[in-house]
Amino acid sequence: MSVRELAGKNLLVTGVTGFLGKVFVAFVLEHDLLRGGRMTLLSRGKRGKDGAARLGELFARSPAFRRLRARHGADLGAWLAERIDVVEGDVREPGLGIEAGQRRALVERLDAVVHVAGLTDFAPDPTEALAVNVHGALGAAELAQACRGKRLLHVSTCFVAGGVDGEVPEALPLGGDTATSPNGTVFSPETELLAVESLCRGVTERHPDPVEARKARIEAGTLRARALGWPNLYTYSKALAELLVARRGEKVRGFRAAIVRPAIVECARSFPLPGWNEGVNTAAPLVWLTGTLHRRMPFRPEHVFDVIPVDEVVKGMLVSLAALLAPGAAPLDVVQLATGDHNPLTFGRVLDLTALARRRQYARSSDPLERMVLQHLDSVIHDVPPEADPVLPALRTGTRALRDALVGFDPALHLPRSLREAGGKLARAAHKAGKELGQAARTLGQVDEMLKAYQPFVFDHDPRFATRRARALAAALPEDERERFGLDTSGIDWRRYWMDVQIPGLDTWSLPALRGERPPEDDPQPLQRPLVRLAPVERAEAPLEHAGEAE
Amino acid sequence: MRASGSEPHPASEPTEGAAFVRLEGALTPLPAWRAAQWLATRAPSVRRRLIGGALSLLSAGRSLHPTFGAGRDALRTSFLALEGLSRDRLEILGEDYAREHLLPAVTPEARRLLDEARARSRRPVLIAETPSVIAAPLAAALGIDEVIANELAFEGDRCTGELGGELIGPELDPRHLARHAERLGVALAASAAYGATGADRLLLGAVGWPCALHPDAELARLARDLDWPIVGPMRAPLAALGGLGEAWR
Repeated sequence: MSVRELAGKNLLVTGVTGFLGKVFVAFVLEHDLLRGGRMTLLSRGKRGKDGAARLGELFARSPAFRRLRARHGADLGAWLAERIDVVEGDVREPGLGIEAGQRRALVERLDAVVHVAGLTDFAPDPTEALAVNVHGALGAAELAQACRGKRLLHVSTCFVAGGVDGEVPEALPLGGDTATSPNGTVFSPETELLAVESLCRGVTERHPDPVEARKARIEAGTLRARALGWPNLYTYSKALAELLVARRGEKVRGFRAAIVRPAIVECARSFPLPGWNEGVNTAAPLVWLTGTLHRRMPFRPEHVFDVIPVDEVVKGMLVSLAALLAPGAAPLDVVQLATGDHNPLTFGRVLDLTALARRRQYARSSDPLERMVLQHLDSVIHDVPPEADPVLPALRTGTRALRDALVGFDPALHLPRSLREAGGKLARAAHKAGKELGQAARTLGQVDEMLKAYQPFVFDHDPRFATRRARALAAALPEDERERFGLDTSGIDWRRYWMDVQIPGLDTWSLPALRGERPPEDDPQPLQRPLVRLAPVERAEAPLEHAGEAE
Repeated sequence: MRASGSEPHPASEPTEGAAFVRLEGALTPLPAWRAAQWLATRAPSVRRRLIGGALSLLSAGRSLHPTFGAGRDALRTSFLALEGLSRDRLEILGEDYAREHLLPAVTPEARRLLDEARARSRRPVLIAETPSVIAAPLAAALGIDEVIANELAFEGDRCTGELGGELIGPELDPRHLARHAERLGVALAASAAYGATGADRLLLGAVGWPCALHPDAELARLARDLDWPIVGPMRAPLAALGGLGEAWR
């Protein structure tokens, strides 16, 4: 097996405006892996811009494509035109929202669909989560089944395992027509999808106010997910997608699928640049937590924080894709990309390293508060469930009470007549301090919510995702490819990664987003030639379906 | 006593050998217990900081006078202050302490002697009571490849507060020194050593080219008696409380 299998192949990639999708596309282009083939990027128009314009902007300014811009300069547009084209679409729509003529063109030429698109919020609106994560995956699978190559690489998550402990195998919990949920419930994935959609419709009908309806759907959907052993709607919807893709794929002759399950995808080790990250991923809120007033972290120190750098995930996707495109590929391959089973990073270590990184930053700070106080305040592990820790609620109550007292301070009411004249200044200072305390109380509220959302991962469960398949695929690469494309997660020095790559990366790219600020972008280098739109094919030239024959 | 800064070695000395330099006293004024105290008071929890700080101060007291215990026992006490700290914390903070506290405290005389030793093809070897988590990054920053320092013991990734190897105390056992010389492939007779306290007399007596660098009164007296060169200003009587100003002035 070799990544040379990819040469001359035609791929459709979804989710290219997301963190992982961008790095995947940039990596494939960087190494020109499809030489002679083409990569079609599915993109949705947004804010008055069509999909091609959005992607053109990404190529012009995203740090993910910095290397390509540096290498090709003004010729980048022409260079890309020979390798990629864009198709307008939306994974939430039937048939991925692709226009019929363009779909015919894809069916005629595609060797594989690489489905990266997904909604990664832990508590999304279930209708949105089902549309993107379940129907999007089914749409991608249907297109893959219809097209020439009949290959699908579907990106999922290791956390479809739900609330479990111990080894999680590289397999789907399917048996005949039913599946087994994380808590052992036997259910039909098809019926479950119908049931949860019906639940969402019912909730929506009962709540005329759209905001209330959304809240109620999230609550009802989360309860349903938890009843089956998934901690949240994200893992539940991704698990349903896997099961349904596998079940429907069984019926199509010649169809082959690889389900790639990354664990927690974090900052790049080296590609596109060390530390690069985008948006708010899993580690950023935890790192943010360690910098708040609340210093007692309800983590199990020995539990694994299963982080994998994004460039290692991309390498894992590529070797999985190469195996999928090679002759004799298995009908269904599950590849888990994680580190916990062979190079574990524990929560205790993460907290220690984060505190040490912050200590170094504060020691060099020009702010006396950071240098003299915050430097010496480390977060500590508090090995009890969040609901059993009285400190956070007490801190919240105390902060709110003090805020109310300060905001409500009125010299006319609270000071003797002789002091009232001087009291104006005091009142202004009290109101200002009250506002700041209000902000602190809101932050503590966010801390509380975040600790609850993360509890299943940081406290309740400790799954170890088996990665034998991924490592075997990397080991099967020829020697000259192993260094560039082979997964090298056992060689990660977590201390160096966390201190020198992850924390600086989160500080630059993710924490600004958490504060509602814009992370830095490169100076735009607009493409001299616009991206090529996929040319549609008229009905007479190619069928809409290639061979959807039942086995 | 020779004048400070005078040439400590005759021009005809052999060039094969090592240059053993003692970290505490000779290279910098800071004693080993200060390093342990600095690390211990940077434990994650306040409770551990208080316990560690108290143990370090006890160790400092014990190192001042034999009445309170021998120097070796004082060292062991200071390492107890590090119990429970993670390897990451000790090594990262160790790098910080070496860079921010020890490196700026290396005396100009010590730097000059190190340069001279290299010019004479003597491989510098750092001897430290201070744990290796600090001594090793300091040595790396000074371009010293070999370090003989106290190795802390770990259980998993947590420090036990005990030593993982032989104790490198104020007095270096000549047999241990001979073993290290053999490992390094150097002849002691062709080597130089730079010590600062009376406890270093064994180290200095074992090599062909001894030198008292910032010596205390006891070593200065001995150096004068044995005609060993003395470099740099004398060490103050309470230098073991190093770091409280420039201790030997």
